[in-house]
Amino acid sequence: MIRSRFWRHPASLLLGPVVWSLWFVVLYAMLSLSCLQGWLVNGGDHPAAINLLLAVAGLLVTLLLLISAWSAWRTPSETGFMPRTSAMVSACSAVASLLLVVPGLIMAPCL
Amino acid sequence: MSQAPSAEQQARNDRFERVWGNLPGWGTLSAVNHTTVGLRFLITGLIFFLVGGLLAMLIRTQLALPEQEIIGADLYNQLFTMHGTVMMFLFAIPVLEGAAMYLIPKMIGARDLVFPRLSALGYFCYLFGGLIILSSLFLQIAPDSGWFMYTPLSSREFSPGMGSDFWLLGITFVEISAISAGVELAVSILRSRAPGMSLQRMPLFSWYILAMALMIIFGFPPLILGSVLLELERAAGWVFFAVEGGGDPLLWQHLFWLFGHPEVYIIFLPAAGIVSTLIPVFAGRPIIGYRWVVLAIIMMGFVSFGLWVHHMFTVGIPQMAQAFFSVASMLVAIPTAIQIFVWLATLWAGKVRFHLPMLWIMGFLIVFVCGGLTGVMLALVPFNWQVHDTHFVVAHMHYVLVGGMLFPLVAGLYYWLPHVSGRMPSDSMGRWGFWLFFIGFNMTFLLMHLTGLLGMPRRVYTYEAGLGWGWLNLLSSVGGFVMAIGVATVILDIVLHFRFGRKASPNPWQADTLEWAIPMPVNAYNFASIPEIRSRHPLWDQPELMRSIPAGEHGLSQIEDGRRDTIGSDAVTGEAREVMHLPTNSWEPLITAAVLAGLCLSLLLKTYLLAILFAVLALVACLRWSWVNGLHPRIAPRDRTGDLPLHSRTTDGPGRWGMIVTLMADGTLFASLLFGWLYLWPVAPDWQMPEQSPLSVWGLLGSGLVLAGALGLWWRQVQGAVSVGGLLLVTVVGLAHCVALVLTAIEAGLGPGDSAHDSILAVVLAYLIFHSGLTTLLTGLQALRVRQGYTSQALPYELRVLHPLWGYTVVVYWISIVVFLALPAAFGGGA
Amino acid sequence: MLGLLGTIMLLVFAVWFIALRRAPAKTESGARRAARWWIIGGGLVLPMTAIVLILGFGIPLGQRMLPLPVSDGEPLRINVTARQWQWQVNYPDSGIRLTDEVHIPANTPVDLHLTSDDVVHSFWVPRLGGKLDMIPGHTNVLRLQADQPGTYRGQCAEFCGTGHAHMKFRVQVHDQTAFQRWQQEVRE
Ligand SMILES: [Cu+2]
Repeated sequence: MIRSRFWRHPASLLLGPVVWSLWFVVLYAMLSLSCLQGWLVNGGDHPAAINLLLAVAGLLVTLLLLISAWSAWRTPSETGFMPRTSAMVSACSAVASLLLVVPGLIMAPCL
Repeated sequence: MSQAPSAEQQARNDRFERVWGNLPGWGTLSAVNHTTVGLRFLITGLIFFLVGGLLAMLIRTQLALPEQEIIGADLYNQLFTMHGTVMMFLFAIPVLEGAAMYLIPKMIGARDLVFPRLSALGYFCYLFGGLIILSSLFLQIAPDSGWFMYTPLSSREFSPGMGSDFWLLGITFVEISAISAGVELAVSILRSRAPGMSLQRMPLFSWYILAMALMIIFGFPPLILGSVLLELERAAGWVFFAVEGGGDPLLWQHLFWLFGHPEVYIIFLPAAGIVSTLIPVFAGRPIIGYRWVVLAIIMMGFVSFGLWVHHMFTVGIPQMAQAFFSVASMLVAIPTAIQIFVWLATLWAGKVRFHLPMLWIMGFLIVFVCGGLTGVMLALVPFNWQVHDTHFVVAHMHYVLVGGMLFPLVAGLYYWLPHVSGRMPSDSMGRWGFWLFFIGFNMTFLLMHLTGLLGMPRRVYTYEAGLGWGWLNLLSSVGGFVMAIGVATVILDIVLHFRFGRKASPNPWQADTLEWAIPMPVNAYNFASIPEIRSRHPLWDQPELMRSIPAGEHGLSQIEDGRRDTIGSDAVTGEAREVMHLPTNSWEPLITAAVLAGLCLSLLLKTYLLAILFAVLALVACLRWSWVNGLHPRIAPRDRTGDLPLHSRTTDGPGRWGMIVTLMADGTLFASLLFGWLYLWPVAPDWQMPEQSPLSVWGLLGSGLVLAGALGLWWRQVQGAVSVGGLLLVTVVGLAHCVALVLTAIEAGLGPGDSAHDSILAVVLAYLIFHSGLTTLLTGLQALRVRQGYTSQALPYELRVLHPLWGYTVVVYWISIVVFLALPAAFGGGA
Repeated sequence: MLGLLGTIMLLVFAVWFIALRRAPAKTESGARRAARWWIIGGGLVLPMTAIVLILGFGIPLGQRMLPLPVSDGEPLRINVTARQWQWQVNYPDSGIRLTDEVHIPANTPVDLHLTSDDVVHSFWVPRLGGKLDMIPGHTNVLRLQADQPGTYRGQCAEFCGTGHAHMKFRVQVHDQTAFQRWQQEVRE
């Protein structure tokens, strides 16, 4: 019940993008700090542990957003406007998170 | 429908006009009405546009031929700096704010914005700030380090003159108007819609403006912080951006672009809102994919904050980090494409009528799509390295900004002209203006792409002959003048139409939105009665509104107590919740803005005693403004007999919403400060973290506990038992906290002139002291007001407004202790 | 890339033009179905495909411009310090110092270590590669490799004050033997 009330509230429109933004900040901060401090980067000129870590975390965020999109889509409501729109926004955020994983797969972290 | 109102209707309209109209003569300066203020914003903005355009003409004259010396390097640098500054800060943003201020209440069925005096204050801050900045040009001491003001070029050592100070202080002053417009528009859209207009029934324009308002709230504070820090570095010799002492010039670039990129979308969103409003009207059918557009707006609002580094691809950030920003920059293409195809689908399904505004929409489409595609190219890092800071970027940027903002703006201008004047624009002259502008624009900037690819950098006042750039520049300059003739034609057309345009019939474009139910030319009160909305397209689905609204057949059709009022509604469902009393004409905005202008000027002239005096006066002016509220005899509401309560009798009124939105901006400022600290600490080459913090741990913790105690006492007041004594006790405890905090700050003996570490701590302490002091002061005033009977247990409205501020003050205090005291202690000095 | 983006642009314009001229949709449900295809196809699939294509092409290209380790030996190191408004060039291996000109061998990777003494400048030789900012307190490394001997124009690409437009330099690319000879001459 709490779940469906949430998805009918307009605040749910912001859930996906907020998660995406936080993930973006964490991604950038983690990468920069690792390179500055030399954590998990193994010299930094080849893909290293940090790449794997970021990719896995990115996939988790994507999964989380997809689950919330699914949950929103199935919420019944009178007009369907809020839950459906929230679901679409969450799904878009999931795609955005997924695309952010791509460069991390092939590039050297600190060059 | 009949045009001639009945005698009874005429009498009512006269009554409304008396209550809502501006004062005659000089009294018009006290106007707070959103129609008046919005139009003032628009006209002032257009004048600044002409100034900016004139500067551009001078630039193009200088660049027309190689090795010209008409304008020397120094003047040229002032010109291009001022061109960018004027167009961005004094034209694009204020004009769109003005358009939004004018349109939003009319579209959502309200009689005014919810904080009318705030809009007037915003206008005067904009006007005075703009004049201050412009005056520097006439004194030939204009800022000359680019509109981006990169340090160290803009710092005292390399720009010893007053130019940078004009920019930093003037722009910060102008930004008061942006933030106040942001707060005002967000709260108005959420809380003052006509009954029944739920979120999903809002016109799309309102969604766009809501997004713009919130983006202003989150986008401008980083620049405000950056400007304040840079001015402190210039005027007081503190260290934030200088390498010696532990600053970093890149911090400025981050703060600037954290603002600068969202700003492009702050400009684009309202313009796209105009497109989304006009296209369904001229296609004669509802937009297809309303929900997709909402989705695109939300995604754009967020993603645009993740792009700022793409202005900094050449500063030496690791490749992989750049790739993230590169991906984010390209992601913006998705919501943009969604909007473009929603518009397309709507035109596809509808029957298009091709009037003058549609011509400008087509111009928008062509120019903006080109600009968007070059934008995708620029987001690609290796390509960016090649063309960054060349004329290619100049061309791209003008395609996006002129295409994405000016074309829709002119389309909207033509579309809403009849609303203001009651007359239709001329078709033939308008077409001439369009084609001259369109051809001139493409001649100037299409060729400039090539100039850039051939390697001509930006911001050079001249170039050698024989590099193959000459003919391109000459044609660009010619195109620039063609464009100028186009602008002149459009302006002439608009001016003439006020005199010669033929009378417009009601709802001349057969639009669906409520603003066209207002009799033309526009009146001061918008709606003689506020209807119940049952559809997303009120004028298409409830056509009787055209008659019944002016006839006074809906809500609030009687003036009570000779006061301005409108309906306050639920933020989500749009159900009517209260009657909002709105302030009438007032001199307070003008006085406050004048005092702030005095503050700005005295800071510019470095007369700090005078500045302190003006700061105190500004505080007094604001407090006096806030004093006349609640049950104050000059504004005291009488009890209403109707079924809706007055907003001042509720606990969740617009004031509280305004406070919360303002605190979001404030919180962003604070977050930017945290970012500065967490950025400089690991990155700045000469950063020095002392072994032990100069701040006394016990002093800060003790002061913080006293603050928490004050919050507890305050909480008990808000929960119900409001009393003069109780509030005074909160004030005294708050005061004790302030004293302890000030003493701790003094005892720390910070040397902000020597190290960035101490400079940032000093700024944080000043921030905390300001907030604690302000909260305490306002609580003390509440005690006085309770004694006067202006607030009371039965009328806790103002306490509820203050409540979020208390929470905020305590939270930032404790976050500061964690970040500035505990973190360095945990991770040690020397990092 | 240009071709791809150009085609997209022309297609969008053409479809818009048709949409303007076209008779209105006959039924509302038909209009909605067509719209869904337009929005999903043009608003989602089109930009996403374009993004993936451009990234797939761009990221490897970017990799090649990086100062990656060279398989045989070390790249030639040159330090360049900018100040208003000149370029101080310094070869740490041979101790050669120059102003406003850089000499490099052809077909050899060169690492330019860039920094600034005063304001932000940017090192750019349009025909040899991308630009990189020179920021006080930071050192950025730019990898260049010239294929052809000759003279190349270089200039400051970040606005740096009054003399910005005239802050130029020259890159002289020699073939391997000529470069050795040049080094000898200068040292004497
Ligand atoms: Cu330079």
